[in-house]
Amino acid sequence: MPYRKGVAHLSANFLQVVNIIFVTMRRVTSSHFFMYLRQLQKHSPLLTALVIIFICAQLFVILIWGIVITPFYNYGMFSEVIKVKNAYQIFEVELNGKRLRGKDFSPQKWDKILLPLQFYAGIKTSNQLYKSDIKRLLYKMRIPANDANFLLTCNYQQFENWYKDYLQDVTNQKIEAFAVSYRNYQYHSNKLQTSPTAIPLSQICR
Amino acid sequence: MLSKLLNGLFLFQVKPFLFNNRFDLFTWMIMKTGLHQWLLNNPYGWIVCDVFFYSMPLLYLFAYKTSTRLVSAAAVVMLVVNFIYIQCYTLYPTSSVEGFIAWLLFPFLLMCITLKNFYFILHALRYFFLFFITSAAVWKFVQGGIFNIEQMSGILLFQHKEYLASSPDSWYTSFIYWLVSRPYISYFLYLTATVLELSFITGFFTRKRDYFLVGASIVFLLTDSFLMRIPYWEITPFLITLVFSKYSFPSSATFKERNRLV
Repeated sequence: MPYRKGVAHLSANFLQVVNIIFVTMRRVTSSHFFMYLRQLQKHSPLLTALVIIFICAQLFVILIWGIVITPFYNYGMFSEVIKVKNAYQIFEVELNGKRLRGKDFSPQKWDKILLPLQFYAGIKTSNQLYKSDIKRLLYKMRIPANDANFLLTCNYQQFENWYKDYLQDVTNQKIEAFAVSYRNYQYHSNKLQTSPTAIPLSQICR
Repeated sequence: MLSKLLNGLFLFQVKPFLFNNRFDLFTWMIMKTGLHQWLLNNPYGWIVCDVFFYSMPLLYLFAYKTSTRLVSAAAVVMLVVNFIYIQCYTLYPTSSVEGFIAWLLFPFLLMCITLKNFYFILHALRYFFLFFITSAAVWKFVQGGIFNIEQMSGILLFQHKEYLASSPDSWYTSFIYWLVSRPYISYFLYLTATVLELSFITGFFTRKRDYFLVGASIVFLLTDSFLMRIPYWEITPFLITLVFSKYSFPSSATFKERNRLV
């Protein structure tokens, strides 16, 4: 009967799946990693406990996803969906009337030029992160937090003075004039093309 | 160390002026002390921190040459100094904290004064490295990056936007635009990197392919450096764990003679 055949077929499939799971489990438990754990357990229960605590802490950080606890991180760099956008906000740095070009600097030096600008622009977000989440979580854990240790104020004049000196060191150029803007670029015809809309750095963090 | 000095990456060369918060419970504990605030615009503080951090290997060497008892103590000091320095350093506009993971974990290996403990911690670090790379591949599936054909084109534009806009006449710009405009080719690179990362899972089952994994890591680091302009070289100490994994568990017979490392 087709019904009986169907049941027999299904149970055969089920047994096959169980078998595959069983074989996989056996392979996993006889893997080098489990052998290591067994050897470690024989050698030192204390060390085994420490290794297992480390593994559990790492799994915990993965499961709660979002917050990390040094040295347990999530290594998901560039794993979220990133699409080609039509517009990008780009920092432009001009020194003595000439624009700084990425090709003239090593990756590390180029990062040194751009990162402080990104951090300055990120002050508001950073303060917001503290106000909305960090403070709340610390309070929940009954850990008193001092706002001054987590908050920064946007003082453009101070930042400009500091960045000017800093840039002088990074580029080895004496600075007579310098300007930074945050310009909108359109991506079309396979190129980033400049647009007239730009925000001066002084307006980014207010 | 020399490379850091030449690239201006010591704390006294970074001259921290501002910081950004991040979502790390341990970092908040360090921030609560106010140390990172104290270091802002504090040239003497930068030099003191740099001296502490970069002299730790010398301290360890000194302890190693002097007395067995001091070795573990020196490694503990190194661990504490590394944790504090790296927490503060990565709060400033420098680089991401994840790249410093070897600085944070290797002091545990240096704490070992017996061959057996050294063997087990070395292997623990090897497994950690395998997890580190494999999980990077798994995240690409979990977060969906691997299912997006535009992924690598999007990453390249996002990562190099300032470079591309500032140097339109450079060969590197032409190369990146070439990749961006061919999403299937750039996606193939992303997919290859993911498969390469995923291949590290074999290390949990066997040590026989560790040399392949060393090669894969080097290819990965070189590509990262060239294609993404991300120097991730500070994780290279983990390659040592793959190179030395071929040595088996010290047997009891030889163990008595070679038990003490120092």
